[in-house]
Amino acid sequence: MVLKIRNVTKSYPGQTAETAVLRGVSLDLAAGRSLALTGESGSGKSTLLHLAGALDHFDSGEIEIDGTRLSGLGDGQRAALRRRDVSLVFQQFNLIPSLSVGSNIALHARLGGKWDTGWGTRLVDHLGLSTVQERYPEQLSGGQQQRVAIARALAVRPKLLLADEPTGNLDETASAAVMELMLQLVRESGTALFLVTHSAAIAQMLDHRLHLQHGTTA
Amino acid sequence: MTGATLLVILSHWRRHPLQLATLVTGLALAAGLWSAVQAINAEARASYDRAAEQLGTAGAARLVPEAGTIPVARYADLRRSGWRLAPVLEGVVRLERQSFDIMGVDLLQHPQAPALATAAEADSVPPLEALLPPGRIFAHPETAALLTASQHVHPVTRMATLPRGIALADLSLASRLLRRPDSLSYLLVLPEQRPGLTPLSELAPELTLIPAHAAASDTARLTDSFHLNLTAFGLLSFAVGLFIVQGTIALSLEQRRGMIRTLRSLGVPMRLLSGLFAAELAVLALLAGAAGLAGGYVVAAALLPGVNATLAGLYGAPVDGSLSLRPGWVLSGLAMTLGGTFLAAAQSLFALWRMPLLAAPAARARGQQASRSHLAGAVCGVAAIAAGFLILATFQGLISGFAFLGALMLGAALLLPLLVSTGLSLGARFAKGAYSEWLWADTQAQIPGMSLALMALLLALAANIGVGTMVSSFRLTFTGWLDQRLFAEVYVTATSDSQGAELARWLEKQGITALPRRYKDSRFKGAPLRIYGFEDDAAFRKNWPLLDALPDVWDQTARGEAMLINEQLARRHGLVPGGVLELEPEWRLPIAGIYSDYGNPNGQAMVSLAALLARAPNIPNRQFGLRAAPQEISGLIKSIREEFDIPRENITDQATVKARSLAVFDRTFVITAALNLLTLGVAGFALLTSLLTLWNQRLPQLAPVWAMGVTRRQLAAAEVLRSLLLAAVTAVLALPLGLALAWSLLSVINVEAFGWKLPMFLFPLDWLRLFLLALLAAVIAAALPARRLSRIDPAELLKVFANER
Repeated sequence: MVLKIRNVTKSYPGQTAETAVLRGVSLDLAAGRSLALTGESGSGKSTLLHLAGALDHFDSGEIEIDGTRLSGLGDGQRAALRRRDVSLVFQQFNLIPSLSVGSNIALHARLGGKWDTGWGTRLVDHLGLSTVQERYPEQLSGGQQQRVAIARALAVRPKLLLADEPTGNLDETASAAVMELMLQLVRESGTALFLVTHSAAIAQMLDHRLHLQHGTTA
Repeated sequence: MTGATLLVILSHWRRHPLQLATLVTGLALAAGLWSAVQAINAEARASYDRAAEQLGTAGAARLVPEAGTIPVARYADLRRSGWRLAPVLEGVVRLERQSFDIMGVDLLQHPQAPALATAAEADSVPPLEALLPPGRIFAHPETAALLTASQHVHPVTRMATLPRGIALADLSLASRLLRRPDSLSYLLVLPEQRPGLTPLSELAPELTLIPAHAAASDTARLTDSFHLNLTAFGLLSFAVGLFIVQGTIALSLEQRRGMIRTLRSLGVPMRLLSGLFAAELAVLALLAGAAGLAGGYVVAAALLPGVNATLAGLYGAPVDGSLSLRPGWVLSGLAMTLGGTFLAAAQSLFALWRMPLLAAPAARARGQQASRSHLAGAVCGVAAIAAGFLILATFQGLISGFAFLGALMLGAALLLPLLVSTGLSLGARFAKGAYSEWLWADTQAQIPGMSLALMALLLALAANIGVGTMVSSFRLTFTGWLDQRLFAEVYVTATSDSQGAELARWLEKQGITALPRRYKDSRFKGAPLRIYGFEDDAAFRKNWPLLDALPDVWDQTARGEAMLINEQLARRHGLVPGGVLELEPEWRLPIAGIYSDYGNPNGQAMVSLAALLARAPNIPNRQFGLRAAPQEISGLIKSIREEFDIPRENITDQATVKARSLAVFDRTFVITAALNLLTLGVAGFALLTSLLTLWNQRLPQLAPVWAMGVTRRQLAAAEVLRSLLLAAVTAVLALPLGLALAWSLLSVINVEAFGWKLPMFLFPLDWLRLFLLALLAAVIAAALPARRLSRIDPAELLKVFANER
């Protein structure tokens, strides 16, 4: 399994008492497979995604990424794991405005020492970004920016790709096109995709679906 | 509606207390340094005015000779014509141990006559006693004590209302002490005159009438340039403070764009919103201005001793009195803060006024947008520098010199973003690895947000390099000049002329070369002029620091056919070798050479001693420069002490005189060093506030990089590195600007202000020290944001990715 989550709990300090966001969530995700996580706003979807990406600490339970237990890792080891094996795609794209499109795409892979020019060129061509590589993110449309974010995430050939409402800022047509591309590339590279979405239509495009309600899986 | 809208507008500060603190501190710093300088200036000017008032010379027009002095007979003629005039004779008299400024007045005619009579009566002395031999002296108690210790002939009346350092006496006594019979320095034209008098221009065409408002004292006239220098420094600090304010105001309005859009869509008119923002700024400006004034008062009180040392060192004009709170100073300080705030806010308020109802929150300039803005700034900068050179070429004077400096500094500041950006682009070419590339690119992206702070840093560093180079060049030149000028090995001052004559005879018998130092004080075009008589000696020919001279300068001067003048006299009146100068009526001599005379604000001429004695046979003969081999110096001093009753302090060797002169020089620039340091401190603070105000905007740029596996510690290190990089590029660019500033100070400002031009020397070690100081300021400024970043809760970074953000 690329991603193994067991009985994970997470609370945030509230004004009077702690608010439990996740109450013992478990799931598994194998290489080359995709999982859609749905749920109401505030159900804990993004929190679970962040925990799975080694971005935040959980209170109890365990998460394993490709056999590496997160509970024992320090800040530096978590960062190293993210550099090599985990990629993220967000609704806000979160591109680096000071870098050109080409540099944005290569950034994560180069940080992890995994930049492969051939694979990068293929991604760029496949995502229709070859003509905009010298431009800056602010000069691109929303759909183009999201494709750059996907290219950046896949350029690292991650074991686990985490996507939080990746098409939330796009219209229906652009959204479907971006999703199809992403799924095709995920299958091709053997990456496990863990995707958070509100959209039932997008969830239907993935191999597995999981619904989160009040911090637990239904 | 107004109250509700105001509450919404002010709620911003509750969420951004650091921003509020930055704004208030920036304003207070700007107001503080400016008002400190103004307080010092006001105190010094008040001191000069008070002295003029106490001496009775204030508020009266003056009749001054074109050159030399006014004969007493001329004064008597004018009095007979019905004019009410008060004669004044000024000069320096050397008593046993010390020199004193003496002012001789007609005790019956002088405006201060009643006060002098009252003071004499308080001493149980009949008022007319001061007119009878031996003559009475009036002086401030402190000066009176020194006078009493230095001589025992003339009784001294203590008058607390007189300024320190000046002795007042009847004209006859003053002319006896100064050995200047039948000469008056100037005539005061008393305010009340009989109508129908023949105009003075007809009665005395050789005298010039200077109206009361223009008849400033010698001190006030000489120190004007110093106070202008100080004002320029204050203005620089004020501008640096405003850079902080401008950035903070722009950010606070930018962050409130969403709020403004909402309020406008709810029906709040733009006019009301603009008015409320203006009112908010005005209140903040007044509060911060008041805090700044309080701080300025403390700074002024701390700096006043330094200023006192400077004024005493440069002009012999110490500021008498302590710092007092003046309503005019408070009001002008508040008005300056208010004006400065609105100047700093003008662009943001204008943008707000023109903002469309549905405008989205503005993104900071990036990419091409930033490049365009850098280019536009650079074009304005080049235009400002060109305008500065045009001013310099077209106009003359101190004001145009400062206008040139201002244009140069402003132009360079406007050019800075483009230059830094270009520098970083060049640096980025050598970047290796993704992290390094990101760091260079991210640093470049920070320029728009950091540019104002960097401009402040550039100005502060350039001012430090410029002023530092000027002071160090001056010191080096001054030291070399002292070596040339003080060529005698021992300096002796006898306590009386008879002792002087005895000493001269004794020295001759011992075979020791003694060069007498004899002079006559006179006036030229209303300003003091000292005429020295020199005895021809090879030492003069070998050592005297000539700047420009005719080929046979020494022969001509020794024969009494020509004279030498000091640089300041030459520059003030456009005199060159070969020209002719009228030293006194019917005493015209060609100028054979010009010599440097640093540290002396007044005009000076050198003629042959024989020529001077022919004109003024009674001038004192007490001071001598003695030539001796180094190994004989201590023995010679010992012999003179054994042979003559000369006070210990009246015999000094060359090394002691040099050390004293250098000590005075160093004290002179205490105030400059203090202001330099304060300006650099303000610039460091500007850097810190920029980094802190950019903090919230930085997170969305940093969080994705963190998510890609760069640790918080690495990001924190990057913050420090970025700050270092920007400060380093700015410091490198500040070097040429600082050197241009030094050149302007040495070749333009000093010439106008003091009358001497100095060569420029370079001090690379000082630059290195300043460069390291700039880097240290950058590290300190970045330390707090970096510390926050290294310890930030991941949840804070994750908020960047939250879809609800």
